[in-house]
Amino acid sequence: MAQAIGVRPVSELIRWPTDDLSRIPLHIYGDPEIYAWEQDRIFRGPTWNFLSLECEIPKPNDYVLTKVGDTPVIVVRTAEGGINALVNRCTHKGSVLCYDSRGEGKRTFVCPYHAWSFDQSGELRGIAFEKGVGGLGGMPEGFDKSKHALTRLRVEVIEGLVFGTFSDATPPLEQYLGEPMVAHIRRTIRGRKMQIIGRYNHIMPNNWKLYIENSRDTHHPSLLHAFFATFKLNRLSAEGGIRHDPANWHHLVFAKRLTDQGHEEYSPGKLRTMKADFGLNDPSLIAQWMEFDDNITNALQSIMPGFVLQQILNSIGTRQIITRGTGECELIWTVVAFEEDTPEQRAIRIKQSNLVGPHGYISMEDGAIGGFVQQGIKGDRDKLAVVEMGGLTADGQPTRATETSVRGFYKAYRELMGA
Amino acid sequence: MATTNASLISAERRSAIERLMVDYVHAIDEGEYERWPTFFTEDGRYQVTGRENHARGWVAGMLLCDNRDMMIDRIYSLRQVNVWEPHTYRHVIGPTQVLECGTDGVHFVAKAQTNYLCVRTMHDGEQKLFSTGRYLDDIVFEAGDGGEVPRLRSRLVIADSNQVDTLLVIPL
Repeated sequence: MAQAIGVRPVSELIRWPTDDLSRIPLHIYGDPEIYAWEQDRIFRGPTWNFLSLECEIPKPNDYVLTKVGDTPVIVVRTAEGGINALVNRCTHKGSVLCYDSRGEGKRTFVCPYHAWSFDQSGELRGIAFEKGVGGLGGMPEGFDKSKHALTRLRVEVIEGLVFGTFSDATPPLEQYLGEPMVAHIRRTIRGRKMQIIGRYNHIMPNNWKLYIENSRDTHHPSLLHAFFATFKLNRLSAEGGIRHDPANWHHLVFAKRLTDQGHEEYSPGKLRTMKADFGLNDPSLIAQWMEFDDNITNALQSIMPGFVLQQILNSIGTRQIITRGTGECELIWTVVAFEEDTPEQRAIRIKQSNLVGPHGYISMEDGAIGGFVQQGIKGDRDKLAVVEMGGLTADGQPTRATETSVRGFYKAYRELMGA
Repeated sequence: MATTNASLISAERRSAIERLMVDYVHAIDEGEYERWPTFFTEDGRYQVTGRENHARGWVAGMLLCDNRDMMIDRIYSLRQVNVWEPHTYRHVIGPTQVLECGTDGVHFVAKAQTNYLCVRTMHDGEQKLFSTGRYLDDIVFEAGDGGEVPRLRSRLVIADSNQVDTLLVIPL
């Protein structure tokens, strides 16, 4: 327990109204006690959390700061070339050790407050005035520095994506992800050397879970996002589907734009999002090259708890959720190119950054919609959300006209929260 | 560009640049979004980025348009396509500093920068400091009605913060 100290037990806080996964009690989006348990049981529990891209710390002794839930974390490339992740909290009084978001040449972390110093493994190496001054003061005889190391996360890397976990109970990363998820990560990155081309810090006016649900909600894209529907970029009438890991914790939703044969639901006048009169003056925005042999043009891979690997046409990137209290969260978008890209391919990726982030033709609406839900539920904490499309379970389905992936998130959530 | 001392720009051209700056923010703040692309040359480029992205050479900024047609698409989408909670901006801009000026062989051109502050007002009245930063502009004096008209060949909006609250749909 770290955050949930003095907080009522989860069993008193959340009552799931059904044994199946089809109902979500709305008060879980606004309850500070539940939020405290989420920090402990989800973010600091047996989960792998995305920390950073390996290419952000290319040289020995480079570091970047990140967060796991609310907890500040330092990710450092060690002098030997490995990667360590340490909680950015001095074990003396609790100050952060690093306060610049990145840096290099960092062999030791010295607290700005009283100069306790820690090595790259988190071991406490030095205390200023440990022996006092002139034989007076100082730490007592017997003070054991080895008992005051920084909290260290286990770290694993897959295809340049760095993950960390607080819990000894978390299985190895590839086992946690499951074979279908590992295969898709490898398919998307393909061993290519990543180069960051942009980062957007998107503050969303909603509980973190509402964004994660949105990223797994496979039937909203062509209903909310007129841009997707109108340009037939991601309609349910295109070939696509959902894959998941054996435990149904992680989900991949994908579509193949060029297979779209249409459906009467998309005929003019039926859906707000089908704009017959909307054509781009400059269609180069949605020109793409077929980057993958599987002809998938749109793929969102959502890894429990808060990570998304994105392919929107040729826009490849990561999304990392950072919690910011019950009613707000931050989504950190990082878009990448690859060293082997031709200048033309790089230019297409840059242009397609118009589709993602807080300014994205598509994703700006995900920022808006989370806020709409957070506003709408304010007076009705006792009510329930209904997630029954496609049944009551979280299994993989050959259609995207389903909410199975949202139910999958709550399957994992309930298992982790223990209620 | 063949540069001359920026302080030697004529008073007429300096004042034309200042009018462009003021007219631009008034068009946006008064909701005349269709006028926004007209401040640019046909091949004009508009990009919003954050200070950190800019400093690190991360070129895939936000809201990138590399010609006037893309700007027209953005405004049409803002009006007709995208779902967003109604709001307006109010910009306050600082004095424009002309950094360089000269000729590109055909036209008189200038590089300039201007600080801005932008407050967002939501439909219910809630106000928030939405963005501060600077405009870094390449301006070209094109032939127009009865003389030359300054237009933006490139406007790079360098926001001081990399954070964007909720969404960025109206251009800064």
